[in-house]
Amino acid sequence: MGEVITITSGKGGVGKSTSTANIATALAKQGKKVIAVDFDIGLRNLDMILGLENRIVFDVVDVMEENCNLAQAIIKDKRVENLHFLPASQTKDKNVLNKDKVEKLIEELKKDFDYILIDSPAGIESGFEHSIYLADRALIVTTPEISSVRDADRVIGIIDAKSKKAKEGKEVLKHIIINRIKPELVEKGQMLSTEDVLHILALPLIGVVPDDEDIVNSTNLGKPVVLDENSLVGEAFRRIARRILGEKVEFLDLKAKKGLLSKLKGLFK
Amino acid sequence: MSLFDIFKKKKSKDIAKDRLMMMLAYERANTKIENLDEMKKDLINVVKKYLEIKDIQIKTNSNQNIETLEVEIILAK
Repeated sequence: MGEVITITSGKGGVGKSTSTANIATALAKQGKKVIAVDFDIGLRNLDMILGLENRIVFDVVDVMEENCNLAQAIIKDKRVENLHFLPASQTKDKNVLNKDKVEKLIEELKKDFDYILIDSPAGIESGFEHSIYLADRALIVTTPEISSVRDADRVIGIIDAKSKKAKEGKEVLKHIIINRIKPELVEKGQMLSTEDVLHILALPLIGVVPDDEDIVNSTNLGKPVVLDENSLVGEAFRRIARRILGEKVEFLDLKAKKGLLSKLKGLFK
Repeated sequence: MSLFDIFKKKKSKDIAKDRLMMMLAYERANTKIENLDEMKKDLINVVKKYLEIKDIQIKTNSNQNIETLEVEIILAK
């Protein structure tokens, strides 16, 4: 039976879809059979980040409404073996999802895949509830900014209340991904550090991801950054995937890139 | 930390952290139980079997290390 991992955040625009795409790709590269499912009905984005937008025929709502069968809607990535994708519907109303249909779909996917990664919509409305309902594990993405951390805290507080597993008395694993860290700002004391965020949210860390222009480029190309072996931010996501697989991996040591001027300043400190 | 740091202004991230901690302490206290309404309904049903009641009020309270839930049962006259 596959493991269901929901990537969530509370606040929008903190990198949920980018994280989902990259972790899914990295897990597939490790030989696991993976499917990334976009639950952001009406505002889908995962398709473009994965570079699979031109191959969509059916979507997750079509499957639930039985306009097609599951196999017809699943898109198999041609570049990465083992990577699959189930797109959200762009046109239909987000209220079409219901608990029973979601459960039927996820149970079906669990038979076929090692990992089911669900890209949750922002907010704490019904879309979020559906995406967290059957999660074995939740990855909460936050940036080191107050609004993002605050919303993350709110989401963490309601995961258990919305989770089937928690209702059955079992534990839903929860981990934090801190995205878009700028080491220069952290060093100057102008941005919350990893330690600050963890102190506030009181949950274990599964990844620190630097703010990096490689992401912009890879999103433009529709090619997840983990496929670039030399990218630091790609490495950050590859390490998250390895941690999901149970490996103990060190966290990236993110240091500010030092120019000549700051090196000189450092001498006089 | 050098001697000069003492005279420096507080860093902006420390201010951010303080503000967040204050805000979250307040928000967490108010959203502790997500299914509070459901629980309240259940409680009313149970208590109603034995007593005539008007309402039940539930409050969360945290005092240093102890967190409590105060349930106030208002009896019907």
